Amino acid sequence: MRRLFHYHVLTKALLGLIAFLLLIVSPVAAMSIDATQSIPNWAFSPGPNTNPITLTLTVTTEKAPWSVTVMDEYNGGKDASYAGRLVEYNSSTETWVNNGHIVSTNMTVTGQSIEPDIAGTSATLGPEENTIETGSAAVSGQELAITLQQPITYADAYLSNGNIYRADLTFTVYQT
Amino acid sequence: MECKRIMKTKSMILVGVLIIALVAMAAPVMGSETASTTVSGSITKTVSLSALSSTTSINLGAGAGSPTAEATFTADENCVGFISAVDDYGTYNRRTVESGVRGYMSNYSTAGSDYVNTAPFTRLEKKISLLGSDNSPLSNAGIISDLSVSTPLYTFTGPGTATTTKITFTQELDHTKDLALPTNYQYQIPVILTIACS
Repeated sequence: MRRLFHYHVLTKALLGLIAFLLLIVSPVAAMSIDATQSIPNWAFSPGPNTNPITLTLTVTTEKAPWSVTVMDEYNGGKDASYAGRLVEYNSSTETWVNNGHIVSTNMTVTGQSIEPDIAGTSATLGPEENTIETGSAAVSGQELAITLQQPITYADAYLSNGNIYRADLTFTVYQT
Repeated sequence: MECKRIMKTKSMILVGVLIIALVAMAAPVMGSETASTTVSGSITKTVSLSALSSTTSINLGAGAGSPTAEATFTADENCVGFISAVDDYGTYNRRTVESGVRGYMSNYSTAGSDYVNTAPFTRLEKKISLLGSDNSPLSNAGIISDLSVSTPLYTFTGPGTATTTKITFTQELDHTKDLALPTNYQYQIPVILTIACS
């Protein structure tokens, strides 16, 4: 009788644990963000410079509120102190150039507003996450246009050695 | 009695599991997903030049000595290159090679707003000369003493902006040969500055 009691206790506890884990894990799988485009050959000239190709995020969330942040993913050898700025990059060796040129101004990223539930804001790109979108209702496959502004001045050098300027952006969607 | 105790314990466990499940459902669902993209590009070669004074006057006085005058300009550039100067004969087709006035201050009709191309082509005896003043990132390339051909006046080796950059014009005079002009005529030379990346 006592053995039967212990068996039932263990069974119920195990089932409860499984149910709990399913409840915790499943909502995360129902959230996604996708950025299919990249901007490969942006021709910068002195001035404000708006991205020539529409950059679109596709966001799905199961719950609200939610938010999207952006940051410079400065991994791969890029100096963290230059996060948020375009840095000279060698496409042949796929490496950031040591002591290379760095544009003088950080990029600005602006999220799209879609009334009444999605509010876009502008953020200066940097090493920390900054919010560019907030949503007050769940979305499914919602496309959001992202605007990039890269001010260039005459102090920013033209690269005559075949290298390019590059920055890697990471977008993160959160739901709470 | 034993069976009743077992049932009571089982009920308590089920209630406990139910409470845990309800708490999990009621708690905020937190999580995050990320996506990355790459932005890359190149800065195009760009130059800009603006003359702060479109007209510069030299007081030739009584026709002796080497009077000077200054003009100023602003230059922006993001490359390696140069600023050159030349007699702007391309704009004034009366400054032909045959007229022999290229590089010289020559007879200009203020009434007709053009150079006088009827022989004799009156001009000063000596060519006008130009000298730039260093103003980072511009470095003067030396005196230009013949504006009939395009000649570098400044060079630059990196990006930057040079404001209020001076050019000194010097006109050596020969009081035995340089003619005084009648009213509504003056000596004049069109000079064009060109900035370019090399």
